[in-house]
Amino acid sequence: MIVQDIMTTKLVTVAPDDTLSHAANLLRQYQIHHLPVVRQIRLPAGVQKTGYSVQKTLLVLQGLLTSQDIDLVVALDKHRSSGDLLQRPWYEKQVGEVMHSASIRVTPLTNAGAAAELLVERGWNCLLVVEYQQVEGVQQAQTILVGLLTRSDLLMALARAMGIFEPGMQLLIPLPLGDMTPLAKTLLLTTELHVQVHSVMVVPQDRRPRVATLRLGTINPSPLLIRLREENIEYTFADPLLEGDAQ
Amino acid sequence: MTQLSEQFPASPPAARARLIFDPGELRYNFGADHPFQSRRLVALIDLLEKCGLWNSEDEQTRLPLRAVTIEELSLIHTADYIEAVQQLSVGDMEVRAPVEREALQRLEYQYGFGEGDTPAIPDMHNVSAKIAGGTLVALSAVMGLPEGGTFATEDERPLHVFHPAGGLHHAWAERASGFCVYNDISVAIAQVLRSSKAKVLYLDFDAHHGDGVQRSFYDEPRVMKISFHETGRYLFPGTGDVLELGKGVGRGYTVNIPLEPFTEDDSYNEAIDSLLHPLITYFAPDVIVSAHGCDTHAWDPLTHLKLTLRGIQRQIKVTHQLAHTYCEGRWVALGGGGYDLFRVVPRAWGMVWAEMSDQALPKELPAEWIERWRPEWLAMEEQEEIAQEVMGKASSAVDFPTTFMDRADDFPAQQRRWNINKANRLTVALVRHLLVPPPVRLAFPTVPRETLGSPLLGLFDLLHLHGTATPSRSKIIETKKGEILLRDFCPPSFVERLKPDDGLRAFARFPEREHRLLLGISKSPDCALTLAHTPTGEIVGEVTMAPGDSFWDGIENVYEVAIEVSSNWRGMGIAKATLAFALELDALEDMILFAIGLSWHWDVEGLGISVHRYREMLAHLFGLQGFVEYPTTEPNVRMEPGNILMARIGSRVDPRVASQFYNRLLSTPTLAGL
Repeated sequence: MIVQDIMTTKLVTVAPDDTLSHAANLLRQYQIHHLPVVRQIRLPAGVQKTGYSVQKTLLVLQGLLTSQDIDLVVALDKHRSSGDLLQRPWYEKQVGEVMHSASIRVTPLTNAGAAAELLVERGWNCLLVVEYQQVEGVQQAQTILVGLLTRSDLLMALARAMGIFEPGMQLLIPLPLGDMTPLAKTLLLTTELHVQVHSVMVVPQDRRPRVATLRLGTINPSPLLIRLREENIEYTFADPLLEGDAQ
Repeated sequence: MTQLSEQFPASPPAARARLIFDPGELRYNFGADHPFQSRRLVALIDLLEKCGLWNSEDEQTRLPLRAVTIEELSLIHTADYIEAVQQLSVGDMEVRAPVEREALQRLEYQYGFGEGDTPAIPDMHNVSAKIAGGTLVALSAVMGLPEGGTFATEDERPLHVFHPAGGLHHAWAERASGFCVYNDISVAIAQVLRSSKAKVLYLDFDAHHGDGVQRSFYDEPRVMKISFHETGRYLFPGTGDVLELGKGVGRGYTVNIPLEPFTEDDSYNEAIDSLLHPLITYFAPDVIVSAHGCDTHAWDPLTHLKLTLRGIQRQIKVTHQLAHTYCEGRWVALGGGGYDLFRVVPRAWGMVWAEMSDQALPKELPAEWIERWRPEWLAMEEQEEIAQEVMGKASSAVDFPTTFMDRADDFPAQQRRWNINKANRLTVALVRHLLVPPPVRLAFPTVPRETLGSPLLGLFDLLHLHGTATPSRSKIIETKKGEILLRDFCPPSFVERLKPDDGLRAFARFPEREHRLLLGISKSPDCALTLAHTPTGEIVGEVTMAPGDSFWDGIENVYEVAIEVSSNWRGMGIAKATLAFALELDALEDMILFAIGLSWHWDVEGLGISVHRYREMLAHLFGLQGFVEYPTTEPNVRMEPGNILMARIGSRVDPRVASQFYNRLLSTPTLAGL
C-alpha cells in the first residue's frame, strides 16, 4: 500500500495572504484541523494534469496552518495589553505570518508504512503529499501539493483492509504448522458454498504465520462450518475458553 | 421486580391488543434449505389458536394490513434499490434469455442478493412491501395516525400490536442483507417521525445487531435505538459496539449492548435491568417498538447466546411494563430472527402475544399441536443438531418440548460462566458510564464557558453550552389548513426524507434546489435549521441560522437569520411561530443575530402589497423577537433603499464585541475588507 491509495485529495486550502479570520471560518465549517497554504497557478486551457485528480490549477505549496496555530495566536492576542494600538488583532493577521514551512513531506509513491512511522515518530497528525514539477515559465522545479495524509486516513485504511465496513462475521483459522494449507482449503470451500469473503488477514508472529482471520459476508455460517469439520480443518468461532482467558 | 404484573393494573386491555397476520406474509420464504422459514409463523398461529389465545376470525383482536406504497418505502430505501427489488421479483431466472439473465445477476450482486444469505425470490417486492405495511399499520394505529386505520371509538384503537412477521432489521437503504429485503421497522418509524412529534424508543432483542435501523436513524435524537445482541467480534453483522453512539445531534441516542458469546439468562437479564429503566426515564419516549428475535435461545443454530424462555419472557414482560409506565401503553412488538423453527419460535412469540393481551400461558403445550409439529422437527433434527454443535454450543439431545417454559434440566451450566458474566458486567458498566443519566452527558462534556472565545467553536456547541436540553425539539401548531409540525436542529436524515412544497422558491428559485440547499445547511455543523412541515412531509417553511459572511469577519458569534414560508402557506402565522420557536434558545443572549431583507427577493406581487408595506411587515415580524433596524453600509443592503437590516444583540454579549459590530455596520467597504 502506498500513500496515493489512501490520501485525501479533496483539499481545502488557503493562500498566504488570506486572513486568519478566513482560515478559522474554513476550519470550523469543514470541521478539520489542517489547512495547506498554497499559491494557485492556472494552467493553460487544454493542459490537464493526470494523476491523482484532474486539475485546472496547480497548487504550489507554501506551508501548513493548523487549528493549534490559530488557537495559539488568539491566546497571545488576549494576553496583549489593550493599549498596544500598533499590533493588529489576530483576525486581521495573514496566514503567511503564522504558517509553518512543513518541510518534511512525502510523495504519492511513498510507502504507507513509512508514512505511518514518520507520523508516530515525530508526533504529527498530518503529512503533506507533494510532487516536484517543472512549470512552464519558471526556472526552478515547483513543489506541487497533490494530497494530504492524516492519521485518520491511515486508520480508515486499516479498518477498510479489515473488511469491517461490510456486514459480516469473523472466523479464525489456526495455522499450527505455519503453512497456509488450512487457509487455502477454507477459501476453496467459501467459493464452493458461495460465501462472500470480505477480507483475509494473516499477521505472522516470530516470522511464522499462526492464525488467519477471515471476515465473511454471511449471517448463516453453519454450512461452511460443517464442511470445515468434515475436512478436519480447525477453526475458532467464539470459543468460550478463549474468551475467558482473554479477560 | 419479580412480580411485574402486579405493578400495573391488568384490567380491560385484552380488547386493546391486536395481532397482525396475513397469509400473504408466509411467502416471505427463502426455500427449503434456508434457515429463515415462514413455516415457523404457521406453527405460531397454530399454537395460539390451539391454546385459545387468539382466533384469526375475531375482529376485535386482529388488524388488517395493507402493503406500503413506493412513496413510503422511499422514506428509507433508495429509488434504485426499490426498482432493483421489483425487477428481481420476476421469479424463475432459468427461463430468461441469457442477456436478460446476466443483467439480473448483475443487479443481484449490486444490491446484496448475490451470494448466499438473501436470495432473490419470486414476487419479493410485493411480499416484502406487505410485511413493511404490517409494521407501518401497527405503529400508525398505536399512534392514532390516519395510516393505522379508523376506529369507532378511542377505546377501539389498539394500544398494543404484535406483528410477528415484521422485524427485518438488517436491510440497508440500498441493499438487502441478513435475510432482510425492506426494513419494515425503519419505514414505520420514519413515517411516524414525519407525521407527528413523537419520540420513538426502538428496543432490539435479536441476537444480531440491529444495524439497518441504527443506520437509518444514526443522527436522529427522536429515535433512541437500544440493541442487546451478541458481540460482533465473531457474529454477523460485526457492528454494534458500545462506542457506536450516534452522530451529530443524534449522539447519545444509539445504545449498543454487545454481550459475550454463551451468555445465559441471568447475565442477560442483569444487563436489561441495569440499563433499560434509567435510559428510558431519561429519554421519555411516546411509543416503544420492540423486536423480539428469539435467536438468542440456547437451541438456536445461528448464534452463540444461550438464553432459555425464562430469559426471553423477562424481556417481554419488562417491555410491556415500560410501555405502561412511560408511553401510556403504546407498544408495537415485532418478530425477527429465530431459527429453531418449531421448538423455540412458536413458544417465544406465543409468549409475546399472551403477555400483550394479558392472558395466562397454559403450562403444557396442547398435545394436538405437538403431534402436528414434532414430526416436522424430527425431520430436520439431525441437521439442527450438527449446526448447533459446529457453533460450539454443547449438544444435549433434547426432545421436542411439551411445556411452554423450558425445563431447567435441559440446559447444563455454561463453562466459564463466571468469566462471561464478568465481561458482560464490564460492558454494561461502560454503557452506563457513557450513556446513562444522571450525568447523561458525561461522555459529551459541555464546552466550558472559557473556551467561548475560540473562533473554532461551531454553532451547535455554542447553542448547547448549557446543554441538558434535548438536542432537537418538536412542536405542533394549528393553522387553518391543518396541523403544522415545527422542528429545530433537523438532522440530515430527517431533511432528506421530507420534500419541499412547490411554493418554496424564494431562496433558490426551484423547490428541489431549495431542498438540496436545506440538506446542505443541516449537514453543516456551523448552521442551524428549523423546519415547518406538514404531517405528510412537505416542507412549508424554514428558519436558517448561518455564520455572517466575510463582511462580518472577526466579530465573534455573529449569525445571520433567514426565514421563508412557502407562497401557498402565507398569512397563517407560520412565519411568526417558526421564528419564535427557532429563537427559543438559551444561548441567544450570547450571540449577535442579524437578518437582512433584500427587496428583490420579496414576493410583493403574490401578496399584492407595496415594497414599503412588505418592509414594515418584516420589521414587525423580527421586531417581535427583539430585532431592531439599523442603518448600514453592508454592500447588499445599500443597493436598494427598500432593503433592510435588523439585528438583535444578546444581553450577555461582551460590550467590546457589540461596539465592534456597531462600527462594522457603518464601516466603509475598503476598510472592512481587511
